[in-house]
Amino acid sequence: MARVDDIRDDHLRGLVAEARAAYREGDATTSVHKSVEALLMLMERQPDLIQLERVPGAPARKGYVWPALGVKVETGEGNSPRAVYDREQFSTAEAITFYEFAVDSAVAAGQ
Amino acid sequence: MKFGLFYELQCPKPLDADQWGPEDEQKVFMEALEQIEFADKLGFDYVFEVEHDFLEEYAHSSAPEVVLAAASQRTRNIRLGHGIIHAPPSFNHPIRVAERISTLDIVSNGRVEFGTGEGGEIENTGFGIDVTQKKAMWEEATREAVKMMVQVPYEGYDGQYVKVPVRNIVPKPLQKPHPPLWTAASRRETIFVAARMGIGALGFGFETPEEAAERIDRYWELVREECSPLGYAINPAVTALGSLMCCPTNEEAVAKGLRGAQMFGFLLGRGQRNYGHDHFHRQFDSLTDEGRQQVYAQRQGFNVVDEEPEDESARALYRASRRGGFIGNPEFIRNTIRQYEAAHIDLILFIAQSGDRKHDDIMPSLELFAKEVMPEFQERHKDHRKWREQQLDGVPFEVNSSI
Repeated sequence: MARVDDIRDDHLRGLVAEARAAYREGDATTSVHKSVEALLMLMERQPDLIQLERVPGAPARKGYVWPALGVKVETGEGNSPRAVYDREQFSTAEAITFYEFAVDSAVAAGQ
Repeated sequence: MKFGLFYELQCPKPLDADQWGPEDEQKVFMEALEQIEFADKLGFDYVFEVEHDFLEEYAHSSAPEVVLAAASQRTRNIRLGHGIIHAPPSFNHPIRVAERISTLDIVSNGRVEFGTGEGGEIENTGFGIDVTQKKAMWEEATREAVKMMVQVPYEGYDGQYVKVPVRNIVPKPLQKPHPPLWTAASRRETIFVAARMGIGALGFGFETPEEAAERIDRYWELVREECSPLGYAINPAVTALGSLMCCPTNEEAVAKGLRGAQMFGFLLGRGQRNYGHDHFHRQFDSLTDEGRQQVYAQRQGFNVVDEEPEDESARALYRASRRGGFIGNPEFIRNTIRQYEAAHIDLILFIAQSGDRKHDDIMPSLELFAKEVMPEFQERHKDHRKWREQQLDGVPFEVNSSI
């Protein structure tokens, strides 16, 4: 079971730890932003790690599928991935979902 | 370890007709009520019923509160669980949820388990809900419904999705402060959301005992370290789900139970639909044995593979359509349950009514399970309770779990 302490990269681990601290303090929106920042960093380093959506006909799993919870990721050729937020506020359950996704993805990536 | 039944109210269309006959749906409902009544007499602890909309053949349980109310008048002890109610307000306004849960709790003499969830894409879009906001809606609406069951008067709320002025919501539930809370947890991260909110996790992912053990360790760790309860009392609990057919021999159990499990997986995996015109029973019936083993793969987006998919949703379908650990003779099933018991699962929910399984096969299966398998686990449940007390040592919240 992946945990924040299993993340080796200091900067990445710091972002995820901030996400955890934020949702525990009741600031779910900041938590989502921190987790998404960590995830964008991962995607920049390993572009194949995360699927942005389920693709019909794709293999059962190549990577982790991005949570469809109001944050989209735009990528262009040669451009860094960029988050587009559909709304300003997020819930605790959403924050925890992004947090768990970020921890899992970082550990799976060996970061 | 406790045991319960889990109902979708599956209603396959007759193979020789394009639509159901006038009594086909009624037959499924009445047989399910008979099974629940029998399970209560046999000593099963829980029945959980889903809420699904539009999922033809797979789940005709769109008004579980009505079926559970009927069950409440035919049973004495079995606990009546919503597994789950769709919480986004366009499905069920939290005022109506609070009123219905409290009323069911009263007429059942305090036997309600209150599960909530978000619903799937077909259901959310059918109710005009933006699926990307369903989780936020679930959280806000569930929190407010719980407050409505407790506060006198309800203080009101001006939220993102729920806006209610000060009112006193009546009646109040018999169980105080409110019935135990559950949520649907098909995916791993949802179990950890549940732990952090002090909610029981209805594990719908067909987890293996090994996966269950890992998740339960983490679940209880989070209950101890990070819990910020959504309700006024916590219900720390994790369940597992599996398809049950208990017969004197493994061969008989497979003959009577495997097709129903495969059909469950097939119906669960239907993606795009031609509403009112699909005939999934015929589609399933036309498959080869190999095709039925791979039904999960027919869900849009997944290819046929020889091994378990890594993706959790695909893996649940893959497992749902296989024999699993609860289709067999009493010894086979007992051995499987012992593994879940070692993992400290609180409750196993069995899918008994499934696909075109026959009522006349389900009833003796329940009886054999209750006589031959259940007693040793009921005997040891006191040990599990002690283990739970140890896990809860130092947790500063009221606990209202029925486990």
